[in-house]
Amino acid sequence: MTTTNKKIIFTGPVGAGKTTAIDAISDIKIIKTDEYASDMTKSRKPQTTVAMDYGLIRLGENERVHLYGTPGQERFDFMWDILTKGGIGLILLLDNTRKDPFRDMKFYTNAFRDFIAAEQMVVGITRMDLQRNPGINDYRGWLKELSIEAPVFEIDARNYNDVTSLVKALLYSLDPGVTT
Amino acid sequence: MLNSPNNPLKVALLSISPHNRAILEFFFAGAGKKIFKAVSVEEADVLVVDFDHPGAQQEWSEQVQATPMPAIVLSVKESALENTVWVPKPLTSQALVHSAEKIREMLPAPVSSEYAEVVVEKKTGSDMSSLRALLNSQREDKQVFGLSGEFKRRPASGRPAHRLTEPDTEDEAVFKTDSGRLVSDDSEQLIGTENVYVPEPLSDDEVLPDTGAGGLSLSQVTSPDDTAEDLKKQEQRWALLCGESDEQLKLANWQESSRLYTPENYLLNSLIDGLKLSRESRQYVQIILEGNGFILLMPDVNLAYSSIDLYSDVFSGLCDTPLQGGKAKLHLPDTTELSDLEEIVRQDAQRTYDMEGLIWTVSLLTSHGRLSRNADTSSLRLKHWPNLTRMEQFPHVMPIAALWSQRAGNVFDMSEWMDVPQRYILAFYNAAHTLGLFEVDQGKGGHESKTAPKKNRGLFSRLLKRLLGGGSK
Repeated sequence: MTTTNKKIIFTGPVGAGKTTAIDAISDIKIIKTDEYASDMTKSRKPQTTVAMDYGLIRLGENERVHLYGTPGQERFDFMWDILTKGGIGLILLLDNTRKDPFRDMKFYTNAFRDFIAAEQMVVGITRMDLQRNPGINDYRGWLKELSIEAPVFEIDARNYNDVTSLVKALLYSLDPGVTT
Repeated sequence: MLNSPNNPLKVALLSISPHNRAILEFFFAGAGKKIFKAVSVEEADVLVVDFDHPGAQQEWSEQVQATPMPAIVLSVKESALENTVWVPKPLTSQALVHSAEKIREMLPAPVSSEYAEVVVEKKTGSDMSSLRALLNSQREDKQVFGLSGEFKRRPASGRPAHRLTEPDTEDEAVFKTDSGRLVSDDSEQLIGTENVYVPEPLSDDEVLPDTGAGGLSLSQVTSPDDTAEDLKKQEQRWALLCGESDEQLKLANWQESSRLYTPENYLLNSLIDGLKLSRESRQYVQIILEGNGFILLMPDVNLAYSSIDLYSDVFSGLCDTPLQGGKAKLHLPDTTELSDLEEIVRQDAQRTYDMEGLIWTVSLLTSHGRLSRNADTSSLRLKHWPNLTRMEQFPHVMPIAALWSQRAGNVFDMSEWMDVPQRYILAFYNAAHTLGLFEVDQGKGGHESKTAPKKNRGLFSRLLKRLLGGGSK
């Protein structure tokens, strides 16, 4: 008897809401590897993910979708290639209150460029309720500059519907013909 | 000091480069969790130091003078200092595990009865069984920090070897063993690396306690909006936004249809004019409606306020009834008016909407599933997805967006390609066109779907069903 496993990877800078987003849709209490931050991360949140967050969506007995959240600090970029192995898509979360979200977008899309080229990415912009600028149109323009085509949604990482919308957009982008 | 293989080694990290510190943190958090535990210097039994890091040797030297204890030395060059174990760079889990084995031999033996058995076992060469098992498993597949190594550890701990059944040819597979436990077959789906640890997917045994005995099945999933009343309301709203007609317009004769409308005759047109004015002037623009209602466009924050509830019959009527002259006037508020308006918006914040979201809804309520007389029948491609999390959604909106972003065509092409009622395609076209989200296809043909269609359709379908069901937690 076999079990089918697929992975969806959540990435983005520190504090963008990756852990929260996974927690919003995971069937299990997510496995977190948060530690007290000891670097500049500390200014954004007291605890941060140092290894990996892990959540799971079970689809009956023999199918699971594993949800992995990467650590946000750029010094962990050496492991991202490994993490994407076997993934069906990437969800990039960007924090609109950060100093330079375009720089963040460039960094993460570059870090995952091979995976994005082979699979699919969707972008979720968090904290737009706190900071309205840049707007969704700016992000669309930046993606165009980077020659990347991907849906961009404003999201609240705590909101189940927002996070599932990202996943749905990912699935439909991978296969517009999929039906329920 | 508790030098027992049952307890992780308490190690203090001295000067270590950020990269190697990150590797150690990964290892300690994952595969090496039972072998090492990072603690403060005061609590430590062993030091870990990176000799390639500036000042590290001096720090180590001072530390061991104050409190003698063995150390694991990370270094590119070989180090043979007394009471240390050298771990060459680049770091691997195998080398770290070996170093743990060696460093334990430098620590005093435990004295409590709990550890007496361990000492006896040590004479038979099995005290480091868990470490050796890990090493052996890693030697088998070279997935040093990998998940497959993690899985293969299990037989070494006394479980019978697993017999694997045939793999799933389409998807990566995890195999059920004789004992019913799920075990990975190889590293294709599960991640492996020489340098880092990644948490493995959980087995059923590990997942079940959190989700209840049987986990959640699709039939158990409840939707927050699944009461009959909610569904009825939702369908009524969709009917307002997209109409109810099943008539199929064709390219050959669509202009003769009665399902056409002229956007310029409606509130939508005033809204577009207002938006243009506010963006060009970079000022707030008020659209004053008949009966003291108004819409305020706030371009600096991409928000719009409507004094009339978007979900009310009054607002629907405003949108789908042709406006007589003067029923919607554009107005640039002065400083005093602006101050008053801002106060109103502050006190009635729930009627503030994303600017695109408001235009999207007004466009849908206006078109009502009809097609604009000015519809562009050239081949179009969706250059940007609408911001659907902040817009009213209707059936099939996401697959329409996905297909139109990948395949250029007009509304009639889309109606042929998609097995959905045409009114939803017309609704999407009208609203997305109003927002300027289309571009005329220049023969590029759009970007094709990146994955082979249908490859994972079954799984995607079940996942979608699950997500659409909501309430998964």
